[in-house]
Amino acid sequence: MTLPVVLQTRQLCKNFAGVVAVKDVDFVLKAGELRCLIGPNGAGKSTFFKCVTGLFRPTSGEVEVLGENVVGWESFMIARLGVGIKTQVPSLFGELSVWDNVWLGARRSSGKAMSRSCAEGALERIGIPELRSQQVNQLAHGQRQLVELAVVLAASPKVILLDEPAAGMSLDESQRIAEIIRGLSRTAAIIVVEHDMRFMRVLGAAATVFHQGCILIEGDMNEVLDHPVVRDVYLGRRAAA
Amino acid sequence: MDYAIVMLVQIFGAVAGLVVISLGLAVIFGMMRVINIAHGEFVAVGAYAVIASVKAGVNVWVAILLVAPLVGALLGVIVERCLIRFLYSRIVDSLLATWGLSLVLVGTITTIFGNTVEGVPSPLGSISIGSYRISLYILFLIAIASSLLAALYAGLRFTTFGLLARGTMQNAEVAASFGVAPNRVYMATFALGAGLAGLAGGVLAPMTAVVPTMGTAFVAKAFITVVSGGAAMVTGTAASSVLFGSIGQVTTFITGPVWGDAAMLLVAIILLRVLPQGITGRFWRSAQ
Amino acid sequence: MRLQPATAAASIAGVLCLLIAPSLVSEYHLGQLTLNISLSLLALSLAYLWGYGGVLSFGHAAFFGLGGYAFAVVALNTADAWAGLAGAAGCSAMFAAALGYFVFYGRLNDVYLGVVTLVVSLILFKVMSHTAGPEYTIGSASLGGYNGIPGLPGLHVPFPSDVPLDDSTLFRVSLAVLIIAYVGLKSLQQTLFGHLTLAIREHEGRAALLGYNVRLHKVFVFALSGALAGLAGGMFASHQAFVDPNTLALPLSAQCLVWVIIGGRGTLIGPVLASIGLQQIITKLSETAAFDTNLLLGGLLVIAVVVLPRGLAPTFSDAVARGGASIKRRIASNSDKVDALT
Repeated sequence: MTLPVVLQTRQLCKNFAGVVAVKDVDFVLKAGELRCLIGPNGAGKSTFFKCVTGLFRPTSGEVEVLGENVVGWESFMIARLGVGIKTQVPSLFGELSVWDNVWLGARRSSGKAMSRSCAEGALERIGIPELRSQQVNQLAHGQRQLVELAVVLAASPKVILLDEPAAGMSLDESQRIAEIIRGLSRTAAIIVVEHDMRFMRVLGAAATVFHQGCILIEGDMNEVLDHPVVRDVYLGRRAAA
Repeated sequence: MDYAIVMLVQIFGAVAGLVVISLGLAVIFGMMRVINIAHGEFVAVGAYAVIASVKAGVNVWVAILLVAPLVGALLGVIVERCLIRFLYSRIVDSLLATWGLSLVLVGTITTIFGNTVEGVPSPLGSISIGSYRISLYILFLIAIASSLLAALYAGLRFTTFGLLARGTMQNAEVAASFGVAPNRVYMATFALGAGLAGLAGGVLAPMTAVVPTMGTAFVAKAFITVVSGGAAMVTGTAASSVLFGSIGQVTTFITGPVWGDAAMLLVAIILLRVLPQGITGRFWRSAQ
Repeated sequence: MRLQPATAAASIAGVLCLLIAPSLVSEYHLGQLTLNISLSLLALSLAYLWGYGGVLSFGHAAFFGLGGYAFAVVALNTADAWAGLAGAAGCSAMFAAALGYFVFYGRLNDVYLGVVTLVVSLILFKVMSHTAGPEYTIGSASLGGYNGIPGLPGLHVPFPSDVPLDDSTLFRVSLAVLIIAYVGLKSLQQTLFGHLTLAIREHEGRAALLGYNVRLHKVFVFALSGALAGLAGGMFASHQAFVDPNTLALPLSAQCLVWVIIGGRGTLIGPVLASIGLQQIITKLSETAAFDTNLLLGGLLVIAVVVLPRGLAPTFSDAVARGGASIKRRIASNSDKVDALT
């Protein structure tokens, strides 16, 4: 039994005024998969990410999310398909409480009756029920990352896209995030964009390596990271794929 | 044929008028990202400076070309030191504070000069073109507008101050590490913008009714022109002035001044919808 | 519909005023207060739009004046002031919706929105000031240019009769409308719509990423604010029996902002009280002719922005909170001292 494909791009390209950020990317994500997008700065990971989430419009190519062709769709329409997105810089409703943030995450997708229990569940799963009454602006960075995970989770997404979830976190916090992500992947397909090598090894997901806008190599994380081509790229010894 | 010439002069005159009232605002907004709602009042101050000095016996040309901009610049320095510099990173607060300032200035002018309509007779006569007469003063206005555009462009591009100013606007910290004092640059830039506004008031004094509330008529047009012009101060302002000046003037020819202004607004709003960052878009690309 | 204690308290105070004031205050002052109330409904509409919706409108008088003129046109053509009020609210709501659609769907940023509303109000003022000729007539309402439209009907006892309401009743009706609007907005905040309004103010992007249609929501918020401002304008025109371009003019937009800033952006009751208070102060001052109104208003605005950026109400409630906390600490440390002694 093959798992259904939840996210797929075909020949995805994105140019910015002559600069090619993403080139001919063919990417496939199946239900229940946990995948890491890695690559040096400027490799095109974030641009790819934004093309998939509707924040950028692709120059050419196709993006299919949960069976729908979403090129040209607004972000909020893509989100409604069941896509949860955590951005690089925590984006939360600062002056509202943690509870309000998570509840709003749950409300639209779960409806009025189920929203409270969904929100409670999300807080429990991320392990932050004690933060519920705090104003988000008053939380530390690490706590905000967790709150944003709870907000994303509360919307019961089928596909989760996480952009640098461990950014700015201590070792302990990163471990916790990695555990949470592994737990989340039991109910959703997840893509993690990351820089932090240590975090990626801890996460142990399959990896897709980006380099200069293209996919360089894909495979098991440890194999990929030990691959000489990938090392060359990260150390700058090689210019092109 | 004669009518065509007259119309053309009127159109250039309208464009020149927009350029003149907008440049001061363009400098301040373009360089400092400060929206000076009191801009119209700086223009009014320039006009009143001309009125007062002419009454005191000063030669009208000296009043227009020297007194008005100096008074404007001086007021600019005072305002910048006492109010604006506390509000640089607070956009909404600076908007509101400059609005308050504009009311204070209107009130002050009213208290000093009263509410009556003042004026200065046009110091130049008129000439005939065929069976029409055009005021020579419009030609003077066109000349001033062109000179200001050229001078500002050259100044920003080719002088040290221009370079320092552009550098500071792009990145104050880096400029400071070169030994430039950002505060001084901000103050000088604001004074420049205010001086340009004062000059505008002086130049326009013989052409308009000088009342304490005259500023409000200018601020709207100046704003639309600057915002539509986009990031490039000189070329942007010139471009949008040409666009709006001609459309406004042509519509005025056809339907009268009220609808001329309304037409300008409509075009501006459509333009901003299509080009949200103005004609010369993309901030920080080129500061000229 | 659960109301917070502060809201309930304010509403009860309002109802008490409604019941008692006419017997305490002279007829002339009652009339003044009725006009003040219309203007504080305008303050409420801007307080909602800006404080809760996060949208700064520099030309809010546009909706007020438009409401006044719509009232005039409808009321003169139907000879019914209540229809006029409905027309006022509806017209401003539609105008706000159209403007909101244009701005929010056009992806103009918030600063530009402020400027666009300012410019729209200026243009409206200019256009309405030049409608003096007989060709500028809608039905039986002649727009009147600078001079405005006189002879507008006052509110009458609904349905059966044409009997006009007396001054006390007019005061009570106006205050009732204000209280209902206030309670209505506060209750709205308890719903999903209300929460979403705050969320969008805080972070539009996050709201969109959760699947909410942010732009449509902002249009609704803008239209609601416009409706309230238009209703205020209609009430004002009805009570004055007169509307002119000054209701569209810049000074009124400026005053509106001053009320919200001084009253406290982010609260509703603050701007309402501030507007009534400031209007009373300005009326008293202009009677003594000491200061030019612009000077006073501008000075207040500058001081308010520089010294009290959050406005009186939040500053006041912060001070109360701090005072309360320090009293608690005193009590705690005193009881520690007592414990230590015994």
